[in-house]
Amino acid sequence: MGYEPQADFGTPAVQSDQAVTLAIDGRSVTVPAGTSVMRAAAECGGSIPSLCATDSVKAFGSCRMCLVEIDGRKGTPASCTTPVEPGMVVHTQTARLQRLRRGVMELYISDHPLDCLTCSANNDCELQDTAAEVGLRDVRYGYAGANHLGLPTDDSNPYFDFDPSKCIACSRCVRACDEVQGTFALTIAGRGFASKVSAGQASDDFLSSECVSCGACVQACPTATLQEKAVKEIGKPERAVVTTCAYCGVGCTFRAEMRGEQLVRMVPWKDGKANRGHSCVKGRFAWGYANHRDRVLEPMIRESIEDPWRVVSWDEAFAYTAQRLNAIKAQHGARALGGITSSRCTNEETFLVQKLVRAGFGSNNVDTCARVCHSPTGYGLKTTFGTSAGTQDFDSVMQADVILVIGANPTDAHPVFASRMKRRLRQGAKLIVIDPRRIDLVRMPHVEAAHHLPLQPGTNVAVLTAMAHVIVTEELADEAFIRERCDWDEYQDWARFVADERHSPEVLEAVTRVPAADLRAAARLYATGGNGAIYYGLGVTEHSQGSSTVMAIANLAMATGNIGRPGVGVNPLRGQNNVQGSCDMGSFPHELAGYRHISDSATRGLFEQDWGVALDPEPGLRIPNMLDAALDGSFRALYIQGEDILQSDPNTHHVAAGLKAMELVIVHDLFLNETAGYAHVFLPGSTFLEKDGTFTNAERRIQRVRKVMEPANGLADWEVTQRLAQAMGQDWDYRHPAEIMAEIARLTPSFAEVSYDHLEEAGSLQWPVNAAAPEGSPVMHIDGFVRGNGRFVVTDYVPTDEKTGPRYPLLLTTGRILSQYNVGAQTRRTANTVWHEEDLLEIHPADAENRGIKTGDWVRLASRTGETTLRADVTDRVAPGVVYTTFHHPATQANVVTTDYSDWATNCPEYKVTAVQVMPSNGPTDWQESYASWAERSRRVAREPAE
Amino acid sequence: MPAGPSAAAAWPANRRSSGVDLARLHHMANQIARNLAAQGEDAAIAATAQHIRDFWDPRMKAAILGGDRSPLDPIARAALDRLDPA
Repeated sequence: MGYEPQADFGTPAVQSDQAVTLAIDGRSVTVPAGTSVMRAAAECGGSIPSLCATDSVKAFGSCRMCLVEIDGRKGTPASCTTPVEPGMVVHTQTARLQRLRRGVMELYISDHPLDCLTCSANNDCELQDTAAEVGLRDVRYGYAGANHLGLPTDDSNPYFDFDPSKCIACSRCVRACDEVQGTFALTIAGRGFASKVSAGQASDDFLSSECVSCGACVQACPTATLQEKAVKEIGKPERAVVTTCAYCGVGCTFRAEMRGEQLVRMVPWKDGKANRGHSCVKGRFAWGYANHRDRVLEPMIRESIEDPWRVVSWDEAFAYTAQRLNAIKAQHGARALGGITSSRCTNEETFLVQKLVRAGFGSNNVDTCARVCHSPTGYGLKTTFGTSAGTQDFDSVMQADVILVIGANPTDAHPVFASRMKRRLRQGAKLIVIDPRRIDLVRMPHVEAAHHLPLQPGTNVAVLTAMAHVIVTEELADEAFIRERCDWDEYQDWARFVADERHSPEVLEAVTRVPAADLRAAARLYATGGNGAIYYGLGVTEHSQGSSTVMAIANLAMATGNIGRPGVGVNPLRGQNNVQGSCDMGSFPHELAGYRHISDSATRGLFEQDWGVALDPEPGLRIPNMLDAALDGSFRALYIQGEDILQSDPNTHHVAAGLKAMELVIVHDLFLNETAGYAHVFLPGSTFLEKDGTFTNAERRIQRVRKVMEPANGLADWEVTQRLAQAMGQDWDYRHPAEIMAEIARLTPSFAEVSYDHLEEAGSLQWPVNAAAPEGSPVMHIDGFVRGNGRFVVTDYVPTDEKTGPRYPLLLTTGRILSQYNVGAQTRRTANTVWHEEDLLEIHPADAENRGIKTGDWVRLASRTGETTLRADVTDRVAPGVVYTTFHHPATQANVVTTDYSDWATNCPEYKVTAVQVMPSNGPTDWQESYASWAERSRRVAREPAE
Repeated sequence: MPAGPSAAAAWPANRRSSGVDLARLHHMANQIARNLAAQGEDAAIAATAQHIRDFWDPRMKAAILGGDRSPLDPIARAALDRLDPA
């Protein structure tokens, strides 16, 4: 489509059962009661000039441009703050109004630079448009008086500038920061003529302030005061394509605004049902990696990982790879081959990779990054509810009365959803945080948790069982719900188990370190505070009892009747953009698409008939099992699409050893990532901007990814996989990802009614999308659980085998930070590094003092598995005895330290509990230096063709 | 220069005896059994057997069934007895 700005109705939409009919400029319009006159006018195609109004924030009534006349009323009220009334007769264009507006506009322009022709917002400026709209032709006051025209520009933020000389003090940016983002970083400092937008304290600029660079202020600004640097550099966009972000599992939709083949900016799409027009610093601004100089655009091969890479044609790359795969298969059997699908790639691409493994390689050795994040969610929720997915849509949080956040840090990891959660908390919902760290949500502007339970890492099950003990023994359970919806006998078994005195908060306090009284109060609040909604993340799953914890969460929700309606539910916050989708698409070694076990002959038969091959009925290897089997010699070739397991998976030494033991490692990625150091074939990948497809977010919402530019390497990722399959002898002939989705739909009951046409029509669809729910299912388990009766599962606390002791007295837990994403392959190649140049180790002041460590010091972090060095950040965000770091930078390689202990049911690694010691250090370890040297050497490319 | 910074060397040789890493499989089986034990012995044995049947690759099943079972907890051992080929 061409470039049209997104429609702005001036004030937010109102939900009401009552409709009001009024007349505006002679036109009859009916809108929900409570709607502003301004919005009603916009909805019937009219336009009332305004400057301080935008539909992402509440009406403010300050600019005096939107004045209207209403029959029977005195004066000229502001239409933005005047609600509609039945029978109201409104006039928006009269001579009187024109005169008033022109006078106000004249005052604005008298203190605004007249540089429209050279302004970056020329032809995209609401001030300019409004001046034209009111017919301003002259400014009588001149420009010699006091003004703001000489104020300097704040260009400290890497992505946008703040030019106060162009500011009209409309407060849209301040209100967007407050109401949309919920950070409250901006304010109007000073009074009267001295009023100016200020980020933080007077001494702050945007970069040093509390601003999180979400872009809401830039989007709200009606002038060029807050403007993307890219617009200044490239120019105004000339077309826009709606697509879906490739960062976290929130799945924000954006307008990719383009000038030719060049991306100018990503602007959150107001109609996006996941993000509702909001964004974070990653999706909004951190897309520069797509054109980074590190990106590899040509296929490369090498016989040995000791050799430099050799650039080859696509044809040679596919022929070489297929020949080697076929040779290994012929010599060692199909089960010696496997693949890893990518949660950063589309559903269609993921489906093809698992199809290649099952139908082409002939094994079920396919796995995905969910192995190391939310595989326990799949196991736990399928066991208890019958589906491997969260129960709600994101909108549901706006009806929650009690929000329980456990093992998640939404403001850093899922910031756009966190903004909605904060909005609900500001409206009065209560918050319980269960986390070893004092995450931001515990206390931040206008948000304070009613209870923070700072548990000892590794004791989630004990805490949740103690909460269940309180609910059962204090008779707070919802017996009617349980009798109607769950298996009553199983509930009674579970209730007896949790009611045992050994599970009381008082007894378990010795294990959890959570004060019993606090835990009791939190349990009572969750059970009795109205709609209770649980949100959780990897602090739940990445434990040796990750699956047990998910089931314990499900037990709590069922016991209190908090399932099956808006405002409640069990909500996993998914890490990567398409981790839900990659799981849906059959990426696990034991399951075909739609979570159906490979041993089920009826399901397997459907795929065999469609694909024309016999499938192995036995489950395949999980990622850690693949690495073990590689060391054993029974697993020899691995195709990895869009994952960097050397950096992301635990126990780096083990991963490296496993990769090195393989005969053939194929890395299909944008960059020569850390895993590629051990690869023999490199297939260049394409970015989300360069291909068509779909992503499925954490609320099961299937959304279109649309190609906005041609693949820089010549092929989209689905085409690369297809070419490889064809080279191996498969007769695939997909001409567009829509055809792959058609195959997914005919083979997957929960996707039965999904098609590209349907997605175009609906905008997005939440699975299941089938005959029973042709328009999708925002909330699941409404009339009954998918599995029939909800199943209570007894979850006993089994301590991890990872123990602290004299040599390793501290517990390390790992996580992520707002500005960075996963292994940092994308975000490290953007200006986001200004906020996080390196991984730091958070350590409590008491532990730091004992060791003579100050903030900024190099420290050695050692576990039984390995050691690394990084700089310390002394903070009481972590409890004594607990240290915390992120895993975004390969120079640190936090996973050198993590162990290969894992969840009992799924082998999801126990990233969150590693016994460590921390000591002062004078610089990188020998291993780090050795690795840096190796990484550089492994990336050598022979530019001349080999003889 | 070695291929990778002491990669294989850093992975303990005692975890890679001959062929399959039995110690890891024993640990996995015991972990499953301990987490299911609260269901009661009979149910835990059945659930442990079913879990291994559903989620383990054939070479893993073959290795643990064909190997020394003495490091296994009673529930895990009983589960393997149920998985033994007739």
